[in-house]
Amino acid sequence: MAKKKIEQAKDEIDLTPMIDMIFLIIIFFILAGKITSDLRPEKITVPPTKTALKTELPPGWSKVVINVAGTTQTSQFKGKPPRHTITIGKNATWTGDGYNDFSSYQKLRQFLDRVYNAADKYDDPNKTGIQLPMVAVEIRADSECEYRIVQEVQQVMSDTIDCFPDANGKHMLPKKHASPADMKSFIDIRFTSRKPKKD
Amino acid sequence: MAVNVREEDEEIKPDMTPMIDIIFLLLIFFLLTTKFIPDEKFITSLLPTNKGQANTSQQDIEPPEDCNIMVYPAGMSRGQQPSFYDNEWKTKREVRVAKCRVGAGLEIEIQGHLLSFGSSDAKKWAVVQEVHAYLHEELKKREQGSALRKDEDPVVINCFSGMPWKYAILVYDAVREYERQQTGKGLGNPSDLLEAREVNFAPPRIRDYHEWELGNELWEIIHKK
Repeated sequence: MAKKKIEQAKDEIDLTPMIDMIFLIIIFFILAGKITSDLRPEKITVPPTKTALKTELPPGWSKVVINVAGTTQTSQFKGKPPRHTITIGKNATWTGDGYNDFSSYQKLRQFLDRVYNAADKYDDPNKTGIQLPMVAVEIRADSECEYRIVQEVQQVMSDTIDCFPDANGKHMLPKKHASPADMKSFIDIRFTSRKPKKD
Repeated sequence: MAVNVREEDEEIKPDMTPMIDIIFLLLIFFLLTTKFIPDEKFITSLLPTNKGQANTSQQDIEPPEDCNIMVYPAGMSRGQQPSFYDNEWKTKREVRVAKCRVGAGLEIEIQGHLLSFGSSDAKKWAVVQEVHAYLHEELKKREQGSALRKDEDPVVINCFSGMPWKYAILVYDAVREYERQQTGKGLGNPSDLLEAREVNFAPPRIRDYHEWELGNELWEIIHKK
């Protein structure tokens, strides 16, 4: 009888240690990993800085993430005009080729108008009469992206320039508003960055 | 007796197979969906609203005194014609090293290639520290002793538009760190920023670009004080 029992034990592999290990691995991944978020494409490397903080949004506020990529490296655009992309969320990627392509800014402005119309507003503390949306805009720009793209994104956000052509076909001229209340300005920016470790 | 014991054994032992199946599924799910992104943080910034509607023209945010910070590619000496800078830019186009200058002060070199993707954190940190130390010293020289930080002359960052973003944000970061030391506030909240000194990026100089205009822009930034 005893003999038979030993043989049976040999047949069955003891699974307990394996399950223990797998549980450990699962718990590790749950705690240490973040589930892929489409809001933050991985191909963007944010620049290193020192003062960046983890900031909380005030209650009732929401956030829009604008991913900005483009290159300044010669090898990447030899012979072609420099290209940039503005990405929001999963499906909205707008590309601009060269210096005189304003379509990506136009799409961005249209998107921001929709966000503005849907958002709660507050009065500008500087008493300009502008109604500001309770929306913070995160500009998550690639460290090698051309600075002019970030500049233009800020101008488009503030709604002080017109990315659509005027009567003479000129783009990016100061925008005329009938009253400050017509301005759809986003002013609260969070520049995404990463603090390098000291050692 | 022996038979009885064996029956009881079998009843107590649950079948592990379905559980292991599910655990493996979970494991594979987490393996595939997880990624490790570096810890991203934020520098809060407020765009000015009180400059009127035409705040895109350069004159409107021209600082009254020399709190201009210029950032431009290294290797372009002063005193040349715009066409020279245009040509330099077209042939090089890559900014491995940048120069930074406050007003008419001495310029420093920023080893920007050490800030890029493949570089180690220690090297990045060293460059960040160097730029911070330089700008803190230069800004200290230009203190006006105003009672309120918001009454100090605004700082305007004039960065060449073709530079990589990392230079502009690093200079911005250094000025903000300096202001943080002056106020003792974190400056992470927009409400703190309303009371803080103004730090702005100069608006874009060129609209409806023609490529040769980049030479003019470089000339202006290199010679600006």
